Amino acid sequence: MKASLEIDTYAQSWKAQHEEVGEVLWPFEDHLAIGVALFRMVREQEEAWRDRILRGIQDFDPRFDEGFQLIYRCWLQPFREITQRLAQLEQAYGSVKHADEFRAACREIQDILRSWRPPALSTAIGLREMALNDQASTEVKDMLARAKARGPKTVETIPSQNSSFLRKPSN
Amino acid sequence: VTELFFRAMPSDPIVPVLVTTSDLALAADFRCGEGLHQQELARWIKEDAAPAMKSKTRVWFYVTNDEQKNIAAYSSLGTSNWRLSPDADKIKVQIIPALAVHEDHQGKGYAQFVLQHLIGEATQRFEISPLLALFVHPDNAVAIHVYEKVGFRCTEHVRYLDVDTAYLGMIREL
Repeated sequence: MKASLEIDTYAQSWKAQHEEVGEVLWPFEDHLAIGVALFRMVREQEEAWRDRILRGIQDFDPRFDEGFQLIYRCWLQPFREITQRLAQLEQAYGSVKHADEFRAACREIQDILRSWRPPALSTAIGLREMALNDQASTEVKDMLARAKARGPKTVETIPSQNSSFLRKPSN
Repeated sequence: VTELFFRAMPSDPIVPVLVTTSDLALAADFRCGEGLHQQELARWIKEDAAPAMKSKTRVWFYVTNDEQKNIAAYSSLGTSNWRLSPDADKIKVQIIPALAVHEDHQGKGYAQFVLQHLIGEATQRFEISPLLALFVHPDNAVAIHVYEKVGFRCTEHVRYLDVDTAYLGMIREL
């Protein structure tokens, strides 16, 4: 009888906790996931826009430049409130899903805005997309067909070091 | 098919280092000459390499293999799309957007070493494109000579509205 009462009490308390988790924690975690996904989507769009301008496919338009910065600022607006709530929930439940991704996204957006530079057409001509004239087209088509039919030549590769090999200033 | 290069190993060896955008500050003093095209190349590594790297261009520094680890040269490798005719699909070409040898290290055979390194890197990405191309200032006779030496040949002059110079396009099969 006593054991049954204890189990019942435990079940009730678990149910209450579970309901609280279901009402508070999970929706919050979902919001974090949506926020991070939105940021990734905007970042992808911004990088594609920068690439198109660098390659001369699209002209620079200051409205896009301002637009992307505005989206990032809007994203950051509730940042303080959310991080406070996040800290409370972490204290209450131990861990909150997507918290690390959310904090990383906040840092990344702050960095993006701090180092913002409008994109520009590449000064290196080679990176720009281009249309060849007829004579060059024929020549390139022949080269392409020949190279594909032959396969890669065996050439000596010279290994690269990573940047830890570089001497850093004032070290 | 085996291609044997006459590998002009420089007398003072240099080491290719694949760099990240945060390493670019190390090239703040990079100089490669007083000519306009040389100044453009020096400016590229300081100002324009970072956005190019965000568009998947890789950049290497070639540093002296001593305690100083001075940047003796830099190079870059990316891709571009070329349209062969108005109604044709675009083709992808591997591109060397910019490369330069520091003015204190010119005449040591470094340019040929850098190109051989890039050709090796591009060959490993044959499936992206079997063609490697670059554009060179027509006044840069020394560079054109080195490019020809490692197998590049001229395709056409390309004139852009925003630049006064018709750059010389050079291409080689990998």
